[in-house]
Amino acid sequence: MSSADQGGLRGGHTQAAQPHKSGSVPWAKASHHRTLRRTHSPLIFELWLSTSSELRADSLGPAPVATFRCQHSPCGAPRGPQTRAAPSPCWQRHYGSYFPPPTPHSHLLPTGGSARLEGLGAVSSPFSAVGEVPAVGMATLCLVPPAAPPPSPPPPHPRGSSASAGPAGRLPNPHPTRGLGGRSRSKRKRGLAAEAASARGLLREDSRGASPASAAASFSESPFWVQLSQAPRSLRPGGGHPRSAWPPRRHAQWPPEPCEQGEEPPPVEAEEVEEAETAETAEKAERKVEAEAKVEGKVEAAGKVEAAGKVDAAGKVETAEGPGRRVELKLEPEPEPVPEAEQEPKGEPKQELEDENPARSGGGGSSDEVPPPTLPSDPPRPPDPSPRRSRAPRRRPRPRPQTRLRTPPQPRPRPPPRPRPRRGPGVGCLDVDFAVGPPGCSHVNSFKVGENWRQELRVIYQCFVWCGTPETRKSKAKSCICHVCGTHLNRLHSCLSCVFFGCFTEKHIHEHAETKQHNLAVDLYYGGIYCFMCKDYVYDKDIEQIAKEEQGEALKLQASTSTEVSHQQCSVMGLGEKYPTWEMTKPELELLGYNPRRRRITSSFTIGLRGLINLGNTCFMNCIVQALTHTPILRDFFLSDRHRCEMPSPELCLVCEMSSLFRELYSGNPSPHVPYKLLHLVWIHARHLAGYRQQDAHEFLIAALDVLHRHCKGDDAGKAANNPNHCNCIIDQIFTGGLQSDVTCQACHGVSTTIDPCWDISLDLPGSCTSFWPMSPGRESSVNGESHIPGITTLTDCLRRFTRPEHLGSSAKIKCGSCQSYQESTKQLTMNKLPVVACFHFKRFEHSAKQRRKITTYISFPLELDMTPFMASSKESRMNGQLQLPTNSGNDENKYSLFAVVNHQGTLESGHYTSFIRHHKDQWFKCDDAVITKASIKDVLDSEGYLLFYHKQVLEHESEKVKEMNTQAY
Amino acid sequence: MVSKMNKDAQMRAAINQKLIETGERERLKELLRAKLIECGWKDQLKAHCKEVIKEKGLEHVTVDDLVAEITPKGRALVPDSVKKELLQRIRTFLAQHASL
Repeated sequence: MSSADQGGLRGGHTQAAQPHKSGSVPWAKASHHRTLRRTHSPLIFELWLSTSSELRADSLGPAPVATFRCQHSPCGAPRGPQTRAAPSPCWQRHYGSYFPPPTPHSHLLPTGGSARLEGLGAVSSPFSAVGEVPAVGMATLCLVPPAAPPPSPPPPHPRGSSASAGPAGRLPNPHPTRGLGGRSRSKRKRGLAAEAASARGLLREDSRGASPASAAASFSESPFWVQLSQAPRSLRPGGGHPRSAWPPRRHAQWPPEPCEQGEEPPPVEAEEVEEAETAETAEKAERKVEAEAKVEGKVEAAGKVEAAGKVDAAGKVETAEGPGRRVELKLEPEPEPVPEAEQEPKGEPKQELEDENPARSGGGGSSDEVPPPTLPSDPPRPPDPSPRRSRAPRRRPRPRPQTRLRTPPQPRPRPPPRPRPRRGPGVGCLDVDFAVGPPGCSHVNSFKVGENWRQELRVIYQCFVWCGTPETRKSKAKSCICHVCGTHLNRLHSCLSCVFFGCFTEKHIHEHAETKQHNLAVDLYYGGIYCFMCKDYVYDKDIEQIAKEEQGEALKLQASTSTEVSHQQCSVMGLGEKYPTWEMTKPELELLGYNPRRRRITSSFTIGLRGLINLGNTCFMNCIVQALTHTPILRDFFLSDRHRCEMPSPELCLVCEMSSLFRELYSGNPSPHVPYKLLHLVWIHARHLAGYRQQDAHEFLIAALDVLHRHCKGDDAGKAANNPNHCNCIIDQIFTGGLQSDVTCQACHGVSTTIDPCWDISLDLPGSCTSFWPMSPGRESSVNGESHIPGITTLTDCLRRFTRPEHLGSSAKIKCGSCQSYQESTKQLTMNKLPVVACFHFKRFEHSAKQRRKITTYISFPLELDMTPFMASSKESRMNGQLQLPTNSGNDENKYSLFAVVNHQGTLESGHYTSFIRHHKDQWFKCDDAVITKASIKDVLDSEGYLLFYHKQVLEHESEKVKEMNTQAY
Repeated sequence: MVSKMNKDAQMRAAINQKLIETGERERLKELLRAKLIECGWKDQLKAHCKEVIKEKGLEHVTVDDLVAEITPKGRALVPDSVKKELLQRIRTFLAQHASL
């Protein structure tokens, strides 16, 4: 058997045996980690970071950080099959591993949600949804009215103004200016409520005077306002640089936009909706109000909105708006409107949640559509700039600030408190982007009122930020220099109001903004929008959408028009998709709402420990199943539902069965699982294991891996791009190592090298007749920290023997490739590439011509194993004389930790398999079919050991591969 | 001395222009982005950013603050291999466009 094993192991799957095209590059190395990588989306890491420290410690899998340690833990609950379609691996994986599915949708539990919603996470990406959070804060702080009002609407009391602009235009003014997000919403609602009231029968003027409008007026007079009011001037297009075509256009349209926006659009739409709703649910509203009041109270008290409302979508909405509402209540003179306003959020929290970007739908979208009517009136604008400006500031007043200010007379102090309660310290921004979306910057909103702002923005993006075509690139190369100092460094920004490029770091653009009062600029390298009034980058859904589209477009163009070799570029191009940020989709959001329950993983968490019924001498299968299901990286793969069945008949797919097996084992169900389906599939696909006879666990392992490998066809793209023989399936990615065999001709010392993939390493034992043991004593001790007790063979000894040069003997002369003659030679095996999971198999069953017996020699094995000495790369140095001891330097690259041991008790003919598996970081359990008992580390290390499973501590990143590709490309 | 600096600056500007014109700059940027994600740099920085934000309070942080705060660390954390590779690619590019 041993010989057979050997063959099986090394020959394993020979289709991949040829070395990679580059010759020295092992085939597997190139793309080995590709899919794995993908699963390591940074998001996961983020989630982990933000969840409890325990969780963090547990995280085993593929953390994105290079130094990630594998720590095996058993958290995890299977996801139900129906979640198949869930898009994001990270998401899946996250909840997949932490939540058992109590209800059909429970796997979608939102732990992840809380973490990811935290909001801070996305700071790095200006366009990610989460990234907008900071803007929220800013938005609340900068209350400055965005632009001068259009001529038609007189500032103080616009009642008389054009009917076309509509009542909505007048009153709601505050809404548009304000951010569109959740906070603004409450305000808006209030305003709407008032409007609704007016619609019912109240005069517009009255309502205005009574509640919101009056509030606005008073607000405008407050000192606070005045202070900020300078900003609006900025709206006037500056002297204007007549240079290019695009700016002029802009000038013409630009100024008008802000005013309109301020006045009109959003309110109208909102109004209608709200009215309808309010009418229907007036009663309810009141009740809700009460409930909300409570919520608000809580929020204030805790300061953390998230704590309570995080998980629950509806709750979130409420909390987010809580403060605002409260204010309203106090402010509102009429009882009626209030309930309505509040009611609305309650009534349709769902909708809001579902709406991907509520902000946009609420304000942006409507504003776009509405403005046109008012536009005509705008042109006059430019003529009378001064009056407007002065006015603008006042009119603009955001509803919120107003309300706020109103309640308490003091102007200044108010603003700051505002943001705080909402967002809660630290991790609290959940609610904001989750439920309602962040409010935008008022200045951006005013910019967005323009009829053609999208077009204009696109032009800027196309010509100066992401240039897809050679012409635009050329123009960008020429024109993108600072208009002040003439350099191209220093984070060049372009004014959004006129043609002006300026250094950001040198503050040239700041100067421009101040002098010309153009308060928006776009980053020419990254496309971010900076607001000089808010003094920060601002994030607006619409703009980001445009930016995204333009960027994608440019990338596409560039890829297609590029003259260079395309393959390498494509690899570069695809990157955006490769590491996507997770953005919740509607279905995800819905599912999230179903199960607000969170689970925390403690050290006594037993999910993942589940016995397996012995179906009749199937302990050989059970012990391997236990080992496989506790393979951290494999578990992560399956629990995140990554398997996409490509088999013609899924019911026969062993991988699918594995997948459901994982779900079963991690379901939290305490009763033993009956793996009859698995057994059936094994019988079907590995006929030699069929029947109720006792089988060899190692044989089963190899057969299982082989079948699994065949059943998951792997990543087609990967297959095509790399060695066609190379399979990218999860099994290959995890278990396949590269075994290098160097045959050295004794005559010419020429070396012929071949590299074979292998799934495990079979080791000879001392005492077997085929080998010469013991190896020379007195060699360097304490490799791998094993205290070298004389007389006891260690795993390292076995490995050393495995990798020693072996004289092939005179009977096995081989034709040497270099000297073209049949010569005696030596052969040496080394590890060319280490697998993520290394299986060591002790050849305890000896079937030689002389005897058949079980070798029970005790082999000591360590918890941590360093494979460096057995690498092909360290062989060279060894041959050079210095025997390289694994230094305990910082190089953890080749370090492994033990996570499962399979033992065999009994004799060759009959016996029983059990396994030890690691649970959490350092707890061990013995799995004896249906019985699982706690074990100590000593129990594990003292066991005889038949199969040892080690998991790599550090998963390397893919950059190696990219490098290879690049060097080849050049 | 001055002339030399001028020359340097001119050279820089010319190279930058060329990089932009050919689109190489975008490619480099994408490559760099990918590398930094892969080597964990992005995550490290992200974690650092979170710390900074937590420390200062979300309300009191702007992108600029953040940039100022994390830039030194960010630069230090870029692995040498990534720098080398970028440099190599830029060299190659320049060699191909030696006419500059």
